[in-house]
Amino acid sequence: MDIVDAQVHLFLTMDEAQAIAAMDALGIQAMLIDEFWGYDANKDPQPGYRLPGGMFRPISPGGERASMRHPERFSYLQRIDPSDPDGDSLMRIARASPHCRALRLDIRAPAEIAALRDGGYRAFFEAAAAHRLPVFVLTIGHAALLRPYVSSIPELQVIVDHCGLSSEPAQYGEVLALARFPNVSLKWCHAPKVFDIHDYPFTRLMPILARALDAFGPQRVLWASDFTATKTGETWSELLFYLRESSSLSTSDKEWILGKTVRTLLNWPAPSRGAAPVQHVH
Amino acid sequence: MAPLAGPADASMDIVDSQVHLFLELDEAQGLAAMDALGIRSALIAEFWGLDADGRSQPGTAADDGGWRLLSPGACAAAARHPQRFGYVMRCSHPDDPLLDELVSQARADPRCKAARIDIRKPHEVQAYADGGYRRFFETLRRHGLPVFVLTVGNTPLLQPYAETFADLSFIVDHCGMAADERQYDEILALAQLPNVSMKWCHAPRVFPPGQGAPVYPFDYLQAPLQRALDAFGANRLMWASDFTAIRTGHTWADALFYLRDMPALSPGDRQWILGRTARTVLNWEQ
Repeated sequence: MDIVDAQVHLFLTMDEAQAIAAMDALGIQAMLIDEFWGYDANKDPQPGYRLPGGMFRPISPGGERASMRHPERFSYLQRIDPSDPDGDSLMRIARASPHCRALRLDIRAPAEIAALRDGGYRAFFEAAAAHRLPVFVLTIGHAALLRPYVSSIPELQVIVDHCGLSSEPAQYGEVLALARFPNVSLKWCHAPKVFDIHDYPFTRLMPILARALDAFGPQRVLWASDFTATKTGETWSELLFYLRESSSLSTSDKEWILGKTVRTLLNWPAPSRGAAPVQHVH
Repeated sequence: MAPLAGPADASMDIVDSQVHLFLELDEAQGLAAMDALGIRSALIAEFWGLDADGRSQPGTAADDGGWRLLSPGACAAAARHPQRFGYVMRCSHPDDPLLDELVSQARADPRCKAARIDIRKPHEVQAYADGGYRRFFETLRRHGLPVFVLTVGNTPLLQPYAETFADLSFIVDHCGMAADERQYDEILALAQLPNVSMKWCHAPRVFPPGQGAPVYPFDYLQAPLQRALDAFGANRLMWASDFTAIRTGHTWADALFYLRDMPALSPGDRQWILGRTARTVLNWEQ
């Protein structure tokens, strides 16, 4: 199976060589890097820099380099601040990179949520659509605010991060309701945390996932581990195997969720596979 | 490296009893993969590959011309990360003139958990059959260092040694690598000797898959594993992946999770096989 992890903060806990070792151990073909080294003394997320006006601009040099060195194992996404004065140029550059597959927005501060509600992200989403860059959107319980954007910009591809990141049943319903828009997909990530189910193999998550599959179809549900951000002790392998070995998912569902969906949405072709190297027992 | 958060099930102290670190992965890569798998500790059998003369590296020539295996990288890795790594003193030269000194030194390092001897070449097997390994095992016994024994199709030859050196702990490598079903019976019969344990490693390729293919979750292994459990008990079975030598296309994670998630395995048996046996037999505290 072609397994793709749709979010890892590479360089936070491991470097490129360590990641490849762990991916080989887990049978993960590729990962999408959301580069994050941690916060600096000013609490700015690194890597990045401040513009003269004070705005912070994230950059992804490690993700880009890792993808260039191992194009079959890594691609990356780019975070762009919607208020960046050079946002359109940044999108052009991102689109021109053969390994940058998407953008990501983190809409969490009250002012950001207010702006999302008031149409303040329209220019950003229209530009992303124009550049054919899918956008991962992280909100905490405010996914329904995406509705006016996705309904009016059909070329925009939005992927709702982290199952919508709300444990409120009504808000999960609002996330699932977005499935009526064909340009919305769901990133199945942090489900143990979102739904507060922590006992591997997380059997009680399966009915919740089944609702997502009923709403979106497996072609619009994609797995990510974001394992470096897991605070509740699940290992990367557990976050993969509970889906890979689930008896309630069909082989086809698994193929889509664990790789084919993200390959398709992000226009990210799978490499052709060679023969496994022969080794001797010692 | 961030410290291992630990598997969600805190009772799962997982120990991998054989990895060839430094063959494909360095120390940092090994730790990253172990964290991803929830493996707390790994026993390193250092192996860099074979050199141009077919000799296992790292190693050096002994005074008598025999080949002495060394473990400098494993020793260093275990010194830096004593909670994550232990190592074996690899042996290929049972008549090494410095055997006593080397075993004494290895035994003094708290991170060296056992010796390991590979008896595979025809002259080695002949000597093994003729009692030629008595001095070797006697030296290990005297220093109290458990020993892993790897043979291919000759595991029953261990019996007279295990009887003679009743207070030396022997671990049969790779499920005994039986030549056939009948020989697996003989290997299981070694369980009558309380100082013999079995390393459950390479089972997917050691046992024939029958009608099916050797694919995860390897259902055909339940029967031979149950027989090993009946013979040795879970407290004398220890899991190892030897993941660098897997030839059947499955991953390190597959080699672990088929046991971790095997419904037929009781939680107690699983805990023994995946960690507690190694901790106990090798005197390896967490």
